[in-house]
Amino acid sequence: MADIYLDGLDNAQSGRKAPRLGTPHIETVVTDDELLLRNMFQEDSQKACALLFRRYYVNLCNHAVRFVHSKEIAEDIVSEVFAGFWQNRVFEQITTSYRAYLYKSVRHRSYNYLKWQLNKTTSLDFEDLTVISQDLSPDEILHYSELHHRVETIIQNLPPQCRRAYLLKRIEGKKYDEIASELQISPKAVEALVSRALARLRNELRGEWFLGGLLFFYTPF
Amino acid sequence: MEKPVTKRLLFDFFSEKSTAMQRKLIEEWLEDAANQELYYKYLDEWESENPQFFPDLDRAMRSYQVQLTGAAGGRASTGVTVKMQRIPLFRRKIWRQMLAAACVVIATCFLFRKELMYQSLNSASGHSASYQLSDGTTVLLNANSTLLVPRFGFGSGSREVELQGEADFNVTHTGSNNRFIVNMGDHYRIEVLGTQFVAYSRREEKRVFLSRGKVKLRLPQGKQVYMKPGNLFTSGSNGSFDMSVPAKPQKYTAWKEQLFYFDNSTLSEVARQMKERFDVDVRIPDTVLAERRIGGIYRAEHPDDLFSILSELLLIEVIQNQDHVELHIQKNQ
Repeated sequence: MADIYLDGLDNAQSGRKAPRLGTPHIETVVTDDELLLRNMFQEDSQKACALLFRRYYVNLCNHAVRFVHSKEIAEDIVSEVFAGFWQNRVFEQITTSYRAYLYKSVRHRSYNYLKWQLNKTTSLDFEDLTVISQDLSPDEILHYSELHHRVETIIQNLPPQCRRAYLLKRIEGKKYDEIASELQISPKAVEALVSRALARLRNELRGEWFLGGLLFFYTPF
Repeated sequence: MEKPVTKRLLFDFFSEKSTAMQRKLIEEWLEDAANQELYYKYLDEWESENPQFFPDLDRAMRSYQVQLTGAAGGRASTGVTVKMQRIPLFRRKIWRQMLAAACVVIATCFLFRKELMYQSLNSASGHSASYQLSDGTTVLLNANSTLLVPRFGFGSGSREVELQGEADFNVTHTGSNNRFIVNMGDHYRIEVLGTQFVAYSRREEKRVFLSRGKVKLRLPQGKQVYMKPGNLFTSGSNGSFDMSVPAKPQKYTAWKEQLFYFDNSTLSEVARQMKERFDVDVRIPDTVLAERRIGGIYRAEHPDDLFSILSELLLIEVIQNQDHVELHIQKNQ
């Protein structure tokens, strides 16, 4: 049963996108490709959640990892979003598509994580988990993409050794001594390289925290 | 007129290949909510075409399945209500009577909901008491304090408790990130996820001292403030408040170790603190004596411990009466 729906969902998408690949096209109407899913949420929300998870989990992880540069954390972020989606019955409340909600939430959480990881001054605790209708301005929507571009550029421009140490540590999640034997330097030196990369990110992203004012709107001290 | 923003243009933007002018174009195009939907649709397609790693979907799916079938999941599904409507017509009368009876039960429960739903944790005077709540949070109640907690454990929503008096909270962060809320009465409430703080809630004053983490305070009139570690919040009269970083935070946590912390405090302040902790009525008829000041940290598990310290330090006489204790300047001085 679940597979039939899944196929229907994907066919609906590919059916529409195939003819216009590459050709300039004016898009005026958004056809509702989530209709089947929405009907399913009415009948069996548990099954529908599972279906949504199967459909978007990998893509969302791939999106989150652009911000947080850690497979493990990306997976955690996406799993948490889905957990909240079910536990708080978000699917009954959202006004956008499920896809838009999921992407927005994953972006928001990834953003918060990155900010927290670099600054450690703000607490992760206050991240609002179930932002039902997160109204973002067009500029903010684009800024999310630009933020992960920025992160990518900063990493690309790191000195080679520094970049390698950072990627092994963050993306591969390896331990300092493992990286040390791989790069044939001391663990202390690896630590220094990784923290240099983080410091670079911290400094160069200083002007990028575009949501700061929104999250803590009343702080008199 | 609709701007010609194509999928190709968006894909270029996602891959950091678009110009500033194209960005402007996309930004204008996004003003339309329908286009925002399209934006996320294309973002998803773009992610499909540019994978960076391949998470183990089956494993993740298995653990999500556990959550979905677990008891933590939402309320009754819509399927149940559909079945309810299929009750045969001839039974509707009985059904109505049952409904009336249910209403009475519900109304009674509603009236006594606090007694039913909450159990109170208390500490005797002179002794602090420590409790562990069902979510793992530990609470150390100062003397003469009461904490109301849900009788049947915390639900899947936020974890709410109500405090009268003073307590130290060490809140555990739950996996599902449920807020922990301390209602302090008079529209003051603390909201946290996982952290440690001391809350003081008595009629004359509300106080919160944060050791670590971060908390949000909701104040009367809908105001709210965020606290950072080391911050002390003190409520004033008519809704004003003060946020400071105390130089000597021990003053606010001393009670946890049965200590009294006096920092150039007047003797009347000492009497007030003793009333609070031991519930003893200490009176100082001599106004000059009441204004004498004392400093230092003293351990006292019983009122007598502190009385003997005071009498030695300030050379005072402690006279035990039926229902109160009087402090006098020693006569033979």
